[in-house]
Amino acid sequence: MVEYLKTYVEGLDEKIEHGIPKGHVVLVSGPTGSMKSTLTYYMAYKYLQNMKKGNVVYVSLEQSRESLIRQMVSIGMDIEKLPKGTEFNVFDWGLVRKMVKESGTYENVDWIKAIETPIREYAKEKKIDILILDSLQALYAIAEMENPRNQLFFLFETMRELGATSFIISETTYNSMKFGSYDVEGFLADGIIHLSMERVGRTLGRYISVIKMRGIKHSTDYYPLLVDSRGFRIVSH
Amino acid sequence: MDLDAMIEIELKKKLEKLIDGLSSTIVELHKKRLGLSGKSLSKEEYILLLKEIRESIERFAGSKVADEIYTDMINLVNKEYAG
Repeated sequence: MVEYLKTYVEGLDEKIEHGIPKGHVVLVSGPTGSMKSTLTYYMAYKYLQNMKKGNVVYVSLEQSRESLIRQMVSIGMDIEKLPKGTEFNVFDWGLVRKMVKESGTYENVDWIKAIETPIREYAKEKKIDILILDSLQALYAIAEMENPRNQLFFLFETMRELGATSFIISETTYNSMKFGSYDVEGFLADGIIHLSMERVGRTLGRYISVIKMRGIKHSTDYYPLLVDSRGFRIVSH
Repeated sequence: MDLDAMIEIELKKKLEKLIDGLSSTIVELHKKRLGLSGKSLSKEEYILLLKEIRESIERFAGSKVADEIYTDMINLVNKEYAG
């Protein structure tokens, strides 16, 4: 029986039957400022808050752990306040990049393997419910992508094998319908959540659409996405 | 195997769980920062190195993970140097 992970975006779960099928690899794509990291963090945070158990692994390749946690605390998501029995692990790979750079051995590193292996090992000891990779473009900046389709296939497969529901954050340009950098990311993923931004007069509005979600009947409509002290919600047509 | 090498292997093994094969690079970097490269370390130098690495682990994965590794390693250093 398929189990589902709620997005906790008010109004959105009803648009995708019950939520995201657990174990899916989902691309969360959008331009700068569209709240990709915040939304993904929010889904994971709300999951732990509501389930009162479980384990989240957030791999940040650029933003420092300290800065990310501070940013999320400022909008009411303090991982220290999550129920006992839950774990929200944030790993700062940007820091490792800087240290390896300082050591002068940066070019010799197989970054995909370096990041993947500890996650695999970790998953052998503890079940990971949600895995977040932030972001794909940061990975491209450090890893040599000689054969992106092949390398990404194996990366996505590794994530599937972990049994976690995975979110991969993908930075795109404004008004783009490309969900990754190589045109294959969307094909390889089980789902695509697209965040877009549109200028309406003096306001820059945020929109969300579920472009793809394997095994789910869903609309591909774009809904205005609002965020306030209650959390994220969509405005239905 | 001498004491120094044994402690370093143990430290690298613990870091491998977090950063895989980069553990050697990170240990060497911290030794270099402290001017401890290429020499046998005394107990006091090991404790200094462990404190520095603990800070980096805290920034990487948080204080819980950092404290676990630091405490295990300090206990090992105390035990081995006492023996």
